[in-house]
Amino acid sequence: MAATGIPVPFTRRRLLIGGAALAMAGAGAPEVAATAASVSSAVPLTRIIPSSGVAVPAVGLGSWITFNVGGDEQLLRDCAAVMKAFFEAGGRMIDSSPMYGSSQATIGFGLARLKRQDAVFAADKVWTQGDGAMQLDQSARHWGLGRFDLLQVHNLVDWQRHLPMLREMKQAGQLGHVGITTSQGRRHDEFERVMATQALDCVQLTYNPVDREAEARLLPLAAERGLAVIVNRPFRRGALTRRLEGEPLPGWAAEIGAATWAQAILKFILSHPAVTVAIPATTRPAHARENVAAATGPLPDRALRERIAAHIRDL
Amino acid sequence: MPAWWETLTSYSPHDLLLFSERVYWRLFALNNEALWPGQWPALAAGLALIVLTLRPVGRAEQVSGLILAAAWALVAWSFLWRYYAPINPVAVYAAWLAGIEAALLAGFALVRPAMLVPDRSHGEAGRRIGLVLLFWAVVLHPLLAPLDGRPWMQAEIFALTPDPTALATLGVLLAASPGPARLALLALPWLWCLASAATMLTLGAWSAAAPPAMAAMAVALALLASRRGARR
Repeated sequence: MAATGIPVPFTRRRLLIGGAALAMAGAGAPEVAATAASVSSAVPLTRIIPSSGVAVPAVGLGSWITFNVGGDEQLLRDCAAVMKAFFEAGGRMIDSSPMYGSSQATIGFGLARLKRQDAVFAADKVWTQGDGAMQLDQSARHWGLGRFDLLQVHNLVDWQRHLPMLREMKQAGQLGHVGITTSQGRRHDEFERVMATQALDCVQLTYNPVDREAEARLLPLAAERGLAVIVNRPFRRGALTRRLEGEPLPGWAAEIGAATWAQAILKFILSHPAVTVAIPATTRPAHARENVAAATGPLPDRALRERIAAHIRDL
Repeated sequence: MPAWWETLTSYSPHDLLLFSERVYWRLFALNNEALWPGQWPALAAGLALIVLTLRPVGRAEQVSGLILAAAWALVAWSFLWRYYAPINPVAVYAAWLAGIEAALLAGFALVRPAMLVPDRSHGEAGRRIGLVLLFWAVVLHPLLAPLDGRPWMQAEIFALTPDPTALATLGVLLAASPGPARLALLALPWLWCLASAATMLTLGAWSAAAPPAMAAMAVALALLASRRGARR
């Protein structure tokens, strides 16, 4: 059963519009989400990574499955078109992993083609029981970058060895932020322990109107520890949006400026005060634009969040 | 329970599939484009296999074995290694196994060709099933792409792509003399059929899953029937 309410303080650092540090309200009041809901702007919402103060647009771009296209020139160009639409709409964070087949190389292809190496907030992962440093070198070559903005331990694989390495890299200025990831509710107990005991900047987890397990412990803990939260699988690998296809958008969608189910889902996710960025993946430039646009206009308040979740659950 | 095991077992088949159906079918177009006009000699080689299995003459068994060996070698290098492996790391192992199958087939064809002789002494059922599989692999399997609404460029052709090559190999071997060597050669194409069917099912491509799944089932049943017949 989904958790209810938003037990997380909503700090002024969490909401910036258009990159400007616009403080919306004091900490500790769930009603602040409603205040945020009244803010409308054509410029995508920008969020702050608490540990560094770095601002990132609230909708990023995932690459799982969608960017694993091998050496297929046509599909590589298609993916570059998705990245172009994403950047033009105001997006910055692109997330990948060595686990995602050729996705890293696809991103590298797109960045080189678009000459946007300086524009991207590069988020990648280390995912190996072996030599993490060697894997990171290879990842950097795929991306065509000398430095990542964020490196995460993928699904906590060998985190005891990788986290110290990542922290050393960060101290040496070779890396912007350090994080850990989980997905689909995997190993939440251990994830919580690592969040509580290790020095981290970001955590990545699954959260959407159907998968709300993170609301119980992980999201409040992230807020308490000042960790940025990146949300993966916002559409349950497309299954959620496919399920909602053909269903009419309820009246409340207009209240928050959601023109599609995808935007309604993203707005639900972004309206949780602990969430920093959502990273939907797509193969279509129009969807990339639509996703980034979900970070403009009002966000649902607490009551509407519950209505959205209930409506989607009951369909 | 070790953490790595907990993580591994938490993945569903869907999670382990890192590519989309669209990307998978595009691999066939790329492979066909790279090997053009190799489709014609491949089709001719497949038809030769059918004729040699129906009416074995001269060194039919050697020719059949070498055709299959060349087919697996080409599938290993071109489709599996060059195109499939970049999107699916497991395909690297499949490519090596396909190479081993090619070497085994070539070895048997050159050293123990009698093993590949079509054999009616153990009943007609296996031979008939074998011929059906062979005919399907060479003649009908390439039609699946257009029948499924995909372009001809994505057609799966014997000797160029793994499914029809596996099906044809199973067909030839089912029609051949039984024995441990035949079982050894059957193992990889049979396992490939299971893996391919599982992949297609996970992708939701039911029509593409059916041929390898049915072939694997037919071979298992034929082998079981053959063993029971031998006991009597």
